[in-house]
Amino acid sequence: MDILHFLDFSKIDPEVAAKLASGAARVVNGAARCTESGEVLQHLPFKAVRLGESASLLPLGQKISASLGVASGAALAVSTVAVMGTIIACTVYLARKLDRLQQKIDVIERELQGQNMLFYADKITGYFGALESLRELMLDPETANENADLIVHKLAMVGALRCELYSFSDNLPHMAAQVTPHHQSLAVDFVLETVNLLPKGVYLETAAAYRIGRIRLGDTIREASRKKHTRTLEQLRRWANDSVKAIANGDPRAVRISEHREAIRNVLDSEENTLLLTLSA
Amino acid sequence: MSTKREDPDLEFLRYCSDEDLRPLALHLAYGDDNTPRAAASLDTNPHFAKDAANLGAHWADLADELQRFGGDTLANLARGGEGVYYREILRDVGKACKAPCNESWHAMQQEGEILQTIIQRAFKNMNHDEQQAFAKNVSDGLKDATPEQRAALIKAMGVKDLKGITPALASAIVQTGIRAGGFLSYQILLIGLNAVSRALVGRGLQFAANTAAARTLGIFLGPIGWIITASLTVPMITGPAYRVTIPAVVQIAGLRRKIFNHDAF
Repeated sequence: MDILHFLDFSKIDPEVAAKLASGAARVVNGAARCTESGEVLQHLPFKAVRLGESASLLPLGQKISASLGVASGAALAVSTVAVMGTIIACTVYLARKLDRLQQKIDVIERELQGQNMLFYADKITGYFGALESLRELMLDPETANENADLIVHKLAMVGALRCELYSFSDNLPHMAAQVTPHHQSLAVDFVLETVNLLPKGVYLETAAAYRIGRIRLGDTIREASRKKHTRTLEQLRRWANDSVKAIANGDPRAVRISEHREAIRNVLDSEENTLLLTLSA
Repeated sequence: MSTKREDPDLEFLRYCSDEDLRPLALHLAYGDDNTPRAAASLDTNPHFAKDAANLGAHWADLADELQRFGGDTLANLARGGEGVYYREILRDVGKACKAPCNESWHAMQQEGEILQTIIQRAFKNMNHDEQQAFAKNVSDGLKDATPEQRAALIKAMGVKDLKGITPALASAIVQTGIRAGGFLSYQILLIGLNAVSRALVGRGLQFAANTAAARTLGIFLGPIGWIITASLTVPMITGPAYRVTIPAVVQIAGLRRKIFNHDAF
């Protein structure tokens, strides 16, 4: 079982905690900084925690934050993001998710040869592949410092792939309507998995930028991605609602999304993704 | 879960809430005197009980039951216990109600024609006082409509405003609203059902909130259903069980419009 080092928000200075709650301070790269000036107010200590088993990121983040003694308020939210971010960056969490996604892509490649979905699958593979190599570089702070130039290069590459992916992601749900009814469930599943995974990738990009001291770059990546993700979710929501209405209208071409209802809701209302796209840690 | 005969026109039922499905379930399982229908199998269905709390999970059982009620008993037996497609039920109910029918219309459109015919028939069967009450109830119901809904109705009606609603105008408003489809259709259907209910039974659907109105939409399967079914003088033949299928179609039409006009996500 993994032992990871998490930021210990229970050791945060009460004055800094108050500033954190009011928005006058924020946590970047493990340090509480003045939001305006960027001045470091407090370097937060780390605490080793044995990582328990949990299927979901958010409950694990909340559980570990609670075990660190973070009670409530802004500190809990930032601590939860920090824990989730550490898990994304330092464990096989993302690799496992990517394995699952790759399995779906393999099936899609096998089943949907020559269809547009393959084109999107290729884009998604490209983005997450580049992200994994970025993760390797930023994992160890000393390696990251030594290779800051490489990280900048990787960030530029990953950023371009992400922008491309987000510009396509608006169309992703509609791809499900273009495949045969037999494969629609597979297509919808793939779309949901992808949209749910994107914020984790964005968090990694942001954290990599922070790690090499490019704080504004990290902020820009997160903020731009948050807006794009919101738009993607709106498209997904509209598509899901239209699908239900098409079913109500008896449209035989309507995409059957009933078995994905829970998954769609989870993606649309994901608190964990909102946190990852909103807070720095 | 799906129906024995996969029926695209009934699949939307899986998106209805337990509360929305309850009146339909009770109607299919129990007669007017609250005794189990002789031909019903829901009551003996292990998935279904009168107070089943999770009706949404058994939407397919309800659809199966309706399909069976729509078919002739002997023909159902020959089909291995399967009933007929909802499209066939709609056609039979449409003909029984003397509503315009067209094979090429989709379910919502055909239901709209049936609803219009039923409400028009109910209106014509009202006496003068009942028609006045109907007009007042339509007028009152429209007060709860949003400015966008009123504007859409005014446009669809081709009138300047919705003041001084006469019985004839009230009837036309309900017909136009149902025909218009879209978001207007569900609201107008509720207003129309409410107005018929108040005029004929003396109590209306509660319009405190849309959800409340939707909840009581089931009243159409009760007193209103009996009055209208009786007014249609449908022969109680042994074929399609009109006493079951006509109110069920009205209920399904209402549910379909509710799902169509609300965002599920």
